[in-house]
Amino acid sequence: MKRIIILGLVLVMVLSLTVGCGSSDEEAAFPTEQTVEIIAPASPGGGWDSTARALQKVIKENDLAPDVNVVVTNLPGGKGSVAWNGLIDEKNAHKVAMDSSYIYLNNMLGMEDAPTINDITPIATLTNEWIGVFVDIDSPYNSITELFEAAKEDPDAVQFVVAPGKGNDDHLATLTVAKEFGLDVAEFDKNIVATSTSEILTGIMGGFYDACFTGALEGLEFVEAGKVKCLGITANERYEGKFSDIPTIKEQGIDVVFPHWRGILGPPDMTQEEIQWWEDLIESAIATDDWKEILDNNEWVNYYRNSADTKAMWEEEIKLYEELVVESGLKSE
Amino acid sequence: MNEIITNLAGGFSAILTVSNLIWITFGGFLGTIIGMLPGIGPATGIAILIPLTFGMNPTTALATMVAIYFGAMFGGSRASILLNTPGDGGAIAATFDGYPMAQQGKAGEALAMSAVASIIGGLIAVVFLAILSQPISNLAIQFGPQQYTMLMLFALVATSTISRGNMLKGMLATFIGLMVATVGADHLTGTTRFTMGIAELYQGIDFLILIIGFYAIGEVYVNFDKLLYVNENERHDSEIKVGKVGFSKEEFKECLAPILRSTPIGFLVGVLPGAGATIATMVAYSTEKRIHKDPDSFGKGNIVGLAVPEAANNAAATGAIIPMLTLGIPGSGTTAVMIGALMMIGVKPGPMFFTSQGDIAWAVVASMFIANIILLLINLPLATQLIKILKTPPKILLPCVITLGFIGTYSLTYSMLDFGIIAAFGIIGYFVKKLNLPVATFVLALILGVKFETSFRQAIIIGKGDFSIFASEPITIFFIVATIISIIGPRLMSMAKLNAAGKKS
Repeated sequence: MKRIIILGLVLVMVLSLTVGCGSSDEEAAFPTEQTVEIIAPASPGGGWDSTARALQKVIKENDLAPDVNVVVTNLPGGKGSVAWNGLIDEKNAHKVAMDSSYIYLNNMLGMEDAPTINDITPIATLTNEWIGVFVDIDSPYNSITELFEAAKEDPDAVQFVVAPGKGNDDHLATLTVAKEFGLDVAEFDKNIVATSTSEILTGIMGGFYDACFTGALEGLEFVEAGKVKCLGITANERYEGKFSDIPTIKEQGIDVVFPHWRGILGPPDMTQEEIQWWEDLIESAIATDDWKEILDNNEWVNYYRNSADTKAMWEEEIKLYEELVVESGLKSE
Repeated sequence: MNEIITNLAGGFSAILTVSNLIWITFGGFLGTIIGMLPGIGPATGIAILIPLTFGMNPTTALATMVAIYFGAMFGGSRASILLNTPGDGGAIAATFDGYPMAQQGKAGEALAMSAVASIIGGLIAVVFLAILSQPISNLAIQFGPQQYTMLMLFALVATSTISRGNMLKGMLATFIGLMVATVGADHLTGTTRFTMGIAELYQGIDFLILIIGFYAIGEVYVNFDKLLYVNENERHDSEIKVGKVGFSKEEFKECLAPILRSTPIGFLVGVLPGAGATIATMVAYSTEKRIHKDPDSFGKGNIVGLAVPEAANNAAATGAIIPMLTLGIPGSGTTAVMIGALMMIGVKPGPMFFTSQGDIAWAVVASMFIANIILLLINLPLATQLIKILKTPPKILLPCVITLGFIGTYSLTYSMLDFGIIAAFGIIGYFVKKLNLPVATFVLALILGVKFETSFRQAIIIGKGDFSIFASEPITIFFIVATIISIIGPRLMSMAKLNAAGKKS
């Protein structure tokens, strides 16, 4: 009898121990590590890098994540694929990375080893830069319609340029408008030149190229200086303030709205709790005045979408671009 | 002109505060150290220190970045001279004569001349910048694909024909370099080439990785070779003597005119967004070699051959700041990082910068003057310490170089794959050196390859397939003539000499 009681006691203790373990596991909420990492999948200086560092700055200065140390690292390569594949291999929810439409474009355009949207967890979409259509100040074209009308008549007449390479958002925006205008996309694309980011606007001003779709931020500076004209932006409504006289492409009768967004993604199989933690952190960061100031400084637009909405946005965009990519012959095969 | 002086005076008064001077000195010192490490060039250096600038006011932040940038230029050439391991593309040309000088026991002269030539080049370039920044920013606009193609062609031909009698080897090295440059995504169509399905190779091989492999690791292999096969007595003889840091009046007089000639070349090439310090130094070096009275002494430790690229390098660094300040367009990797950092603190370099934030812009110009002078003050005493590196026994020094090379590589790409690449290119570098192939032409071709190819194809698309686009206006014609002269010039000169000798006899 005694032995049974003792055995029972031991059993109870063993059980309570395991229960203790279990409950302590549950109580130790995410994050369990002291450092969380935001990876910029590019070299320092670019859009991914500056967005990641801006986010880090806002989180630190407003003490939004008092228990952890937020660090930003750079992991360039493969238009983001190297960093994203790293997340997939490591499966550590303390590490997230910046992303953009390359998350599905890489794979769509046939890059080997590039992850798909099902290999990772979307966390949030943060910012958006509208794309502008720029021509030299002395250019004969004064509207999107005039520009594409001329291209339709003679594809050689208008020299388009994109940067830094084909298959990015600026390029797809160019093709989307061309397609909406009824041009033969494959034929049109052959004439588009790709160049480096630093040479696109100098090339327009120097008369080497006739028109470009590029981030509105860079171009509007030159509009202000009286060196180039902006024929339209890919936004759904006009800018407020000093650029309010610049029309959208949509209001010129071409039904195209084209965002160039940046966001954050995490490794596959993140728990609801982990996603929630990152979402909460990001939501509190973008609510600060500091963040709004950074957006203003960079002419970025707030484009916040949470995890679920981001995924929905991707799926919709993929549907749109897949057709375009095949039609223009961008997809190899 | 008066306006410029008033503005500049305002700039100086804004920059001459104790805290600014401390930051410039600190930045310059840090930059020098960073520049000496293989692979960690000014761009990475500034990127690492970006968080430091968050709390600063914009003027101080920009001045600190300028100091780091210029400091790294100095540091890069220190490593070129002492170890034959350039830290950055712009420092490659400093190895041509700087390293032989150090081998001959003239490291003191080399370090001092490199510092002084850099300062002179840097200061003159800042004066150019203050006076000409607005008109010269138009030069960047004059350069499109066809002009870049011809500039690259000229730089490649001028460098590969640099050594007389060795032109074939130079051309061979150039073509191998161009071939390696094709690895990665084709910039025009996005088609991948020679990537073997490895995502890391998609954006090509970073040229800094190749410089580390080729120079730093290759140099270690070559030295290891010596350690293995040179017996004890000889090894004692081969130990390098170390001279004093300084140079004679005669040497300075000899170098002054070449420095003054190469500064404008460096400055103008530096202004072009697609060119940069590597081309600037190579073009300055090969030009000077052609007009020098004793071209054969170049590459064998001629002090002029060191002063010229050094002046051009700092002039190019200053020139690269012009498109950044006046157009908001980065002329180099470093200025790209600087623009990113500046946007974060609310400074927007661009076409409106001098008008809307003129006080900051002029303070930066003033800080360039001061940074140059402070760097000279830092670097001369530092050189007396650095020179001791040469006395370090190879069995200690070589592992250090390898370690730094690997750290530098990792800090650039965070990729293990690149460790394999630097080791492999180290071996190639070893054989290239053994075969006496010109290393610099190979590396230059590699650096310029992508740009050369892309520009060429862009021009062909713009010109609708018509090659006459390459001879359609003055700038391209100028480069065509310069290219032809660089090929046949040396031959004509030697024929003229032969003729003259024939007439005399």
